[in-house]
Amino acid sequence: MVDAQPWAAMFGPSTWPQVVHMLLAAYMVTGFTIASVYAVGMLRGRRERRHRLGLLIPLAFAAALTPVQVGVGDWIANTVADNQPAKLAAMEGEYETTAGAPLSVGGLHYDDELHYALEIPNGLSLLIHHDPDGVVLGLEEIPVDERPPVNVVHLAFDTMVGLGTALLLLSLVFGWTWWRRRRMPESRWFLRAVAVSGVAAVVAMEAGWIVTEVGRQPWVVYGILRTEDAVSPAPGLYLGFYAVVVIYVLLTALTVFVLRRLARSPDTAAPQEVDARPPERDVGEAAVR
Amino acid sequence: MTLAEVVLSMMFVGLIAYGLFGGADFGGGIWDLLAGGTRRGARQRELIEHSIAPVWEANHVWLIFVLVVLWTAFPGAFAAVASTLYIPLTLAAFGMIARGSAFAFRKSVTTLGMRRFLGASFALSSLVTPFFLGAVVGGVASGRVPAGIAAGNVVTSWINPTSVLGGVLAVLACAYLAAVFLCGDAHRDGADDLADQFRLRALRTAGVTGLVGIVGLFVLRADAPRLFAGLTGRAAPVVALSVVAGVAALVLLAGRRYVPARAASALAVTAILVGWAVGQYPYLLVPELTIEEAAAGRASLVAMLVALVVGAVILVPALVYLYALFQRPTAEQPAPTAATRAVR
Repeated sequence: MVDAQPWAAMFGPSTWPQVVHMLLAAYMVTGFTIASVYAVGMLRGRRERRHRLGLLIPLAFAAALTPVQVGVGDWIANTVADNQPAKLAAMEGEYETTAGAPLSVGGLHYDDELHYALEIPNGLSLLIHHDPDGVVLGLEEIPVDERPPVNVVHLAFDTMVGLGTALLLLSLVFGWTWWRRRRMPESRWFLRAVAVSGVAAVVAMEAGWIVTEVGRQPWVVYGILRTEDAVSPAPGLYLGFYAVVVIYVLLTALTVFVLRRLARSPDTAAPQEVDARPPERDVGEAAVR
Repeated sequence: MTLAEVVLSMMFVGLIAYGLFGGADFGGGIWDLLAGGTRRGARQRELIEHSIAPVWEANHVWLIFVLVVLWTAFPGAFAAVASTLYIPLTLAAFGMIARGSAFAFRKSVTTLGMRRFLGASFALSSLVTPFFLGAVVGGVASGRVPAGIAAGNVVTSWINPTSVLGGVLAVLACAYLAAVFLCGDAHRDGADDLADQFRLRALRTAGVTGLVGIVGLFVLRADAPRLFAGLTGRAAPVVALSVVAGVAALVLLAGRRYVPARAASALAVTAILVGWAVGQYPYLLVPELTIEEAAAGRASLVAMLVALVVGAVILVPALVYLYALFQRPTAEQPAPTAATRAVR
């Protein structure tokens, strides 16, 4: 057996940017999601103190972290450019190695070129090398059978960055209003934006995972083990996959059902609190058991 | 003892803990299934729920522990077992998912139909999950899992005489342990009639387990001669200890001495598991892969050992406190009075 180096594997060059990026993403998802629940409540006319605090605290938390995430995003993109040029080229839809490369937003990649993209001149070189004329390696440097699927990675990357930018704008509006007027913005448009911010944060996070996982293909361990060589040759595995899909659909439906029930009668005891239930309720429930 | 053997021993301690705590947990679900109709079984179900509710998640952490140590320290053996036996392992995982979610969701619904559906899912998955896990053990112990990825037959590796024996014994051991533990819990809560019901069940289950064990020896002699030779040879003293502890547990149960009966029962189940390990030493996967051959590199083993020691320092006191806490009757909540019990 090969003598593995567990510490080297655990603390590779991308460990710290990945860890920090994901931690911030998790906090942002939490903050925006909770805030969005209360934003919906406020849009339905519940504007008392509990709803305002319920929106204010998580939103302030998430809004403070969002600008930090932009900086960490720059850090992680530079790490990817140094260590996984194929992934970076796919993220940016960059085929030719170019000096002064433009930043391409959107578009479709086919015939070794990105079509219909919006280009910001010298943007990519500036972001990656902090120099408008820096040279960015393109996919042409990578052997054909080692290139990740460009469209998935590029569009997922644009989704993450686009939603992240929108969340940054929301955070700035919130921060500016708080700073200048000492109150939180309460216009219907602001509340609507907060109401969708939770979903946006989740989608941005998932898009980020698509970037990092699909962007590494065809490798499962970068440069060492290809995904097609790693998969178990046992017969019938796809049946297990279908079963997992069915079970998770059922579990999701059940969870939604139970959560909706709990929302209607929020005093039902959680499993851990079964002993703390007042006895009268106990009797009532035992009768229907 | 080599470094690999030290790490494997710690994994085996986790496996024994899973057998005892996870086993009792599955067994609780099995008795929930057999408790009878909605109204008649209500009190038993309540006792079961009360006993396992605080610890049912903690119990299954032991399985995760075993799997993590196995794939870190013995990756070759893990790959062989997980790929060849993926069908029963996946079914066991589905069983645990169904069990856990049904148990949690049952608390949040009040309609009888929904409660019955979720209760049945909980109870039924408690019955089939230990069977699949026992079948996995049977497949490994009878040498049907060769080294290499998916090198064994994915069907006959777990549908064979030894696996069926392993599955049936696992279900019986779970039911027995749960019945013995529930006796003590019921007695402590002052419900001696319930304790007597579970005492009878424990005694009957022990009888059936003993019979299956004797029949099992013939099954093993025909189907897994190496394991049979190991169990009746080198591991004979350990197997004998299990029999003695099992008989002692029955005597203690018959005399309603529930706390020592628990200890004796736990010892009997532990000794059977240790007997299996002693019987197939030094092989991890009979008859090809020894412990040393399957072990990961030294750096991984050392890292694993450090993590285990640090983790144990944090986790063990917390777990002991958790179990101790729920073995105590709560101070502010008196045992159910006769009046409320009558309504139930």
